[in-house]
Amino acid sequence: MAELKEDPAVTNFRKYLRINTVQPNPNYAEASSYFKSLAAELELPYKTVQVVSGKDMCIITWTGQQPNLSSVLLYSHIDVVPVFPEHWRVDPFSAEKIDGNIYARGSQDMKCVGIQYIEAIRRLKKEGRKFQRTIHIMFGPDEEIGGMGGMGTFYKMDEFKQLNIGFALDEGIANPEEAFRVFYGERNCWWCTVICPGDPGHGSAILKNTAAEKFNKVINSFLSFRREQEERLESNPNLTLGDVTTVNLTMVEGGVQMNVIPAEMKASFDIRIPPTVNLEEFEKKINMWCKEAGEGIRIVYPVRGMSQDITSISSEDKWWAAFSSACSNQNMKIQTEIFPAATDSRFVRSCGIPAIGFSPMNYTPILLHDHNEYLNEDIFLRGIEIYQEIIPALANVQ
Amino acid sequence: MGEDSAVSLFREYLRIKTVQPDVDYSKSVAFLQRVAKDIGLQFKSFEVAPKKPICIMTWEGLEPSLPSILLSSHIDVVPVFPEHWRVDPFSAEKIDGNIYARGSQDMKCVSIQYMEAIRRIKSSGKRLLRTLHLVFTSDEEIGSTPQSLFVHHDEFKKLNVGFALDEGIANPGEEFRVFYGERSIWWVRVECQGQPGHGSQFIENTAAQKIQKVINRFLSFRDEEEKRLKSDESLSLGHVTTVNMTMMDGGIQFNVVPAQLSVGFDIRVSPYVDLDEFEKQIATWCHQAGPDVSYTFVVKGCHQELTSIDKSDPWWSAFHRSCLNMDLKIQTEIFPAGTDSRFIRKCGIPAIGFSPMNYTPILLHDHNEYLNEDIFLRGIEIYQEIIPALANVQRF
Repeated sequence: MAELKEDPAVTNFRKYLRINTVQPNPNYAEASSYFKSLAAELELPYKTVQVVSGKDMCIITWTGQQPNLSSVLLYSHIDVVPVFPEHWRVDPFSAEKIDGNIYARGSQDMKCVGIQYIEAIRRLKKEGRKFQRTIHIMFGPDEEIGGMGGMGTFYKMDEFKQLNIGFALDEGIANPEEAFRVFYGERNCWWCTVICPGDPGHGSAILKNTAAEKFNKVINSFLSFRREQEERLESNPNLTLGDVTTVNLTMVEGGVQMNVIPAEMKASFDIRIPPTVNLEEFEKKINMWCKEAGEGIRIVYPVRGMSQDITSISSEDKWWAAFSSACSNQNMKIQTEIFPAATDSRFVRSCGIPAIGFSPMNYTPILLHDHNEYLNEDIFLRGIEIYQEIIPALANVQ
Repeated sequence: MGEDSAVSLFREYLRIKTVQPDVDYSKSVAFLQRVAKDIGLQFKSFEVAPKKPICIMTWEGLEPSLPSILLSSHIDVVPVFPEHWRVDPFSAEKIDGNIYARGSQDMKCVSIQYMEAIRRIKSSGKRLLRTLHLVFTSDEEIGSTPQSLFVHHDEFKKLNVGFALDEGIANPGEEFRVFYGERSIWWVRVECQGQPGHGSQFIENTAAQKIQKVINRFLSFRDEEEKRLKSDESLSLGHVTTVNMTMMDGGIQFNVVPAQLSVGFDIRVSPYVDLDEFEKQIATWCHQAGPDVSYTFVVKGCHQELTSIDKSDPWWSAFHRSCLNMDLKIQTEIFPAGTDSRFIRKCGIPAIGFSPMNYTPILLHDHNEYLNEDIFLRGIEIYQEIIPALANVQRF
């Protein structure tokens, strides 16, 4: 009987969660036909734009009264990260509801937001509301693996420009406390492998110019910088993780056998740099650490993000004013931050389009990418109401 | 001008690939059997472990009941980085008289020199008092497990060894280096466990922070020992404990803070160090690096036996005198690395490490390892003196 009393929005959410869009082989086709059926219910046009083979951007459009004005993008990604089912209390794709909590991979990141957009629009339409600006609800593939099969390619395409986007909403992160976290920029991700060459030789010798000594100095420099940044974060309550540079030594490699001094050792770091840091200066710093560690050290960057676009959170900005006043009208506490990791918003911001990362999940533990990810159904439903205020405010910006 | 047949044989042996890991010893065993037959030595080979052969060539002495002389060498060689070599490391190319090959110094030279010296002694019609055994061992370069098994084997006891010669090291100067003991090999693997998580976070208690501390501790000890060696001229490398970080692994992908990182150290402990105390020190370093840091011994040698270099010792006196007779300058040392000799000394048998390579850069395990052919040929002459001197040591 409980199932019968469930809010249809929750039912739609759980339906979406049961579509297995887990990397590395998401079922995008099934997701697309689901969006198509939702668009039909909303009586709004649905279209798909192929980014790469088998990967489409899925777009539901509600044309505004002044379609020449720039549009509002309500963005969410379709894919979810892998699971370790043995650590889950339920099947991660069953969307089981236990004590009002809906357990599923993607319940926080970020299928909740996709359905909340839909359900908010459904209610607004039902109320007969009309807005000046066109609204695009867009679902994109492959965010969790770097975005190249999704927004990371789409933002350069003509079809993206034709959407004429003026402002975008995208994902945020949950908060166990009362405040809603709102992200206006994000850190750049640098993946950096430092290759330390050295003279090889017998493991019983004392050689000059060994890879090991260089490796030692390199990790000391990187990790002492890590400590400085960690201390900076801890000592200043105004700073969040997104405001400091994080460094993690995530991979090490080298050696042939125990008694051979190796000709090469490698250290790989995952570095996240806030938009306030001068990237050129930072690169110089890395180069200096490597130079100080010894001769011949090479640095390769499999990933090196260089975009530092920040969305205005000035009260004079019309988009921010609309967003923030919609929040304050509902007595929502918000907390503005730099996103500590990467989202598809970076591609949107790099086109000069303001974008805000926001997932309306307060009083919710942070479980993205973790085992037993869940979202409470009341929090989910409250999120729809929040969008019912925010979306009109944005779509009616003069 | 034709090449000396000893040099040709040396080069042929170098071309037989016996590089670690997973050495196929079958070709080299066949080669040794052929040469033994050619010289007229008894030949025997057997496996102490699957695919780990020991080859023995024997020349019986006039008094076979006397303890014998063991001439030891290993067959295997260490890996190469061919891109850093001027020639194929298994081509044994000769450039300006220098024979380039992996194993040219360590230690295929010595194997051939033993055999060629005995060939010449035999063909001169001499007979020696004591029996000579040439023993060729496998896997010396990866910890000498075959040799460690062999010295407890009946076949070894049957050899009734009184004294052994084994490998030494080259010297760029005039002196020949002679080794009467060696350091204990400790191969230590340190595993650091930590909290995993996303690469964009600050996580407490990471494997990376622990491994950093471990590396700093071990390498600063390395620096101390290096300083000690440099500050005291009476010390050679064998007198200090060396530490090298040789292995490193861990991590899954860039954006995942790993649950484990590991590091491997090759430590050579001086025979003058208290081994128990030293292990306590290692345990302390690991403990201080944080919780869930553990160490394991891949190899833990305890080889602190020293061979007498006292003039009253009949073996040393025979060795030393024959060197003097040839005007060889020698320099006695503790071997900085580990050799098969340690297992022989452990049985209470005196053993001397000696590779007759003076005026030769130290290139064992290095790129472009080579040996000059004149130095090689001179080595044969040296053994032509030393081997008879040892084999004719009177009953004592």
